[in-house]
Amino acid sequence: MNNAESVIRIENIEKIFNPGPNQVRALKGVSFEVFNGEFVSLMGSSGSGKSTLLNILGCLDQPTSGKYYLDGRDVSNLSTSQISRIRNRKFGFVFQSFNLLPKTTALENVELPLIYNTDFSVKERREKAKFALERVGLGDRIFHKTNELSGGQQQRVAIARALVNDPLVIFADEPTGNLDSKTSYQVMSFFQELNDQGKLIVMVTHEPDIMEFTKRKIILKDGSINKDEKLERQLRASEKYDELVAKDETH
Amino acid sequence: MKPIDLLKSALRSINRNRTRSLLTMLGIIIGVGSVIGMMAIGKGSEQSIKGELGKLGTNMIIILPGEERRGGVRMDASTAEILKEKDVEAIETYCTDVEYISPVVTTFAQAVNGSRNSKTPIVGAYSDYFIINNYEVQYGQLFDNRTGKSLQKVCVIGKTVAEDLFENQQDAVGEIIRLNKIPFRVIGVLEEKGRTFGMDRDNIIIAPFRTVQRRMMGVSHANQILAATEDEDQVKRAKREINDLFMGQLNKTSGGEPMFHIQTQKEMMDIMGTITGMLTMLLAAIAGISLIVGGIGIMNIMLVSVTERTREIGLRLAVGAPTSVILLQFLIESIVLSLIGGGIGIMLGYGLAIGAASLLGIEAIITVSSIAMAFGFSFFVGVVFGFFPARKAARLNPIQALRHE
Ligand SMILES: Nc1ncnc2c1ncn2[C@@H]1O[C@H](COP(=O)(O)OP(=O)(O)OP(=O)(O)O)[C@@H](O)[C@H]1O
Ligand SMILES: [Mg+2]
Repeated sequence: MNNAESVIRIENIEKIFNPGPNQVRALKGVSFEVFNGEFVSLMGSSGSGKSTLLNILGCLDQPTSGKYYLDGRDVSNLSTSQISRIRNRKFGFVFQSFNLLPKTTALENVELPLIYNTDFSVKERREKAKFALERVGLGDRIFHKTNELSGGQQQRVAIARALVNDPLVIFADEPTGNLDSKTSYQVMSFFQELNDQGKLIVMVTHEPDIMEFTKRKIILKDGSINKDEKLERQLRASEKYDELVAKDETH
Repeated sequence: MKPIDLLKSALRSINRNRTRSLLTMLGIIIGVGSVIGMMAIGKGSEQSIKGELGKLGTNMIIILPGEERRGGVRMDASTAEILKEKDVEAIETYCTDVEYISPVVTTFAQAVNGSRNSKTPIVGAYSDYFIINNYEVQYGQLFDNRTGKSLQKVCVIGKTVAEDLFENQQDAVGEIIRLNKIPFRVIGVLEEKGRTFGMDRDNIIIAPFRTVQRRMMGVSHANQILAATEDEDQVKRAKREINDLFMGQLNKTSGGEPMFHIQTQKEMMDIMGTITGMLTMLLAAIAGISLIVGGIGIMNIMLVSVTERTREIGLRLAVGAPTSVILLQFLIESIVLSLIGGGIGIMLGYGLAIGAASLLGIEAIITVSSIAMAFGFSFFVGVVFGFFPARKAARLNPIQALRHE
């Protein structure tokens, strides 16, 4: 393996919740490497530790033991402010429940990560946020309040927010969990498009048909890796989406 | 996050819950409003009292019979008659700092002019009395010192008396009026003086000392002796001189204790100043308590707000907001809330003070320092009571916060 190229490298990550007699061993020594340009799906049954792992990868949580190298740098023992900075500059997050600010415009939501980066002026923030919204096809919705948008549109705003800071990795925890198949395909097609442009994406899902749009699947079972394999043939989400649209029209 | 962003976000979140924000601010509004209002009225009444006392002449020294005691004035019949006209001469001779002096007797009389009459205080005094009390003549003339020491039946009348007794005030000069049936010639009408402590200073008749003392009252003492110095800074020395004279040569003592007491206008003003100052402080302290109550209200609402916005905080943390910025965001929100409340409170307090002052017949005095103090207090309250909720927000765990329902 070539360490210099891996963006994410974890070694023997363990996570124990509630240490003591009632402890939960959510992760029992997980190791893998992820390289630039990959599109990884984390699979597994409920409670297998997918979210826990993703949170650790996204530096939202710390492992009980094990090493985590991000871009070759050990991030296991950083201060909270350094970790905040990494989340702000290197990561983008998409959540199952969108997590947009209520009563706030799409633009302001997308701007949010940039607000915490003093490198950008107010004008630059605006422009980047607008551009990100255009990339997810919401260029005409920038001043809409988030509660005026459909579920799919809201998730696209969330994707725009995740890519506005041009992150190293986009982490998504069941991004299609709250969406119907048609909008799920649409959201996946945006992820695929981003991945085509070279963006590294790590996504948790438990839907096999969503997994089929990614390039690699890591299956967890009871906190350990059960299977880690490249997917040879990738389906195109946009084609699936078009098929569904066509089917709707014939009805 | 830039300061302007923090401010904007604070204003937006306050604006988003307008009714609640206003209710939250109510404590601060009432607190600051009452502080400002009470200070304005306190300062106003202090100034008005000082002004009133000042009108009476700041160089004035009043010698009264009876010893000044903490429980009041102790006086019996012999003490009441302790002041004599010859004491005035002694003071004139020995007390070099005293410039003007007059014995004073006061009584009431029925003043009659034809069918018109008025019940009026009559003062018997030397002509220095006019100078000491800043009385000026409007029509006619004042009597001079020789007349003041004589038994002549002349008098000078105040505006109110002139209006009561005569159709035209100018016509009063030269006319004869009867005071307790004794005929007096009016030689002058005084300029209007207005009211002092609610007393009409124009309702007065001033006549030569001996005339009132002997003819009208039939006594041989004076009710008080009024003196004044040329300059304000001589007052203290003059008081000491008089005291030494009375205690020593004139021996106005009984069992070693003085049978008189000497007040100066300056002392009165100082006492009044301390009293009103203390009152102002007391009122401000009470108002300060309501500020603390207001602060607790802010803390309460900020805690509610942090709980309500747990997911938002989680999201902000997830996208990389430093905990210090989250802390600052909520702290600024509570400070802004408190300052807006303070601003409204200042306006409210000002309005109330003007209203109350006009009822009391004084002027409401808003000082820059009281406004600065009000804002300072609001800021302080915002920081102190906003800190705990803000820290609670900053310490949230992002994952748990994002899962919050
Ligand atoms: N904060 C926590 N405290 C205690 N136990 C936890 C905590 N978070 C997760 N767990 C436990 O860790 C295990 C893994 O949870 P995790 O959320 O990672 O599962 P998951 O694979 O994401 O499941 P799902 O598909 O239902 O989202 C579970 O047994 C869960 O109960
Ligand atoms: Mg999960």
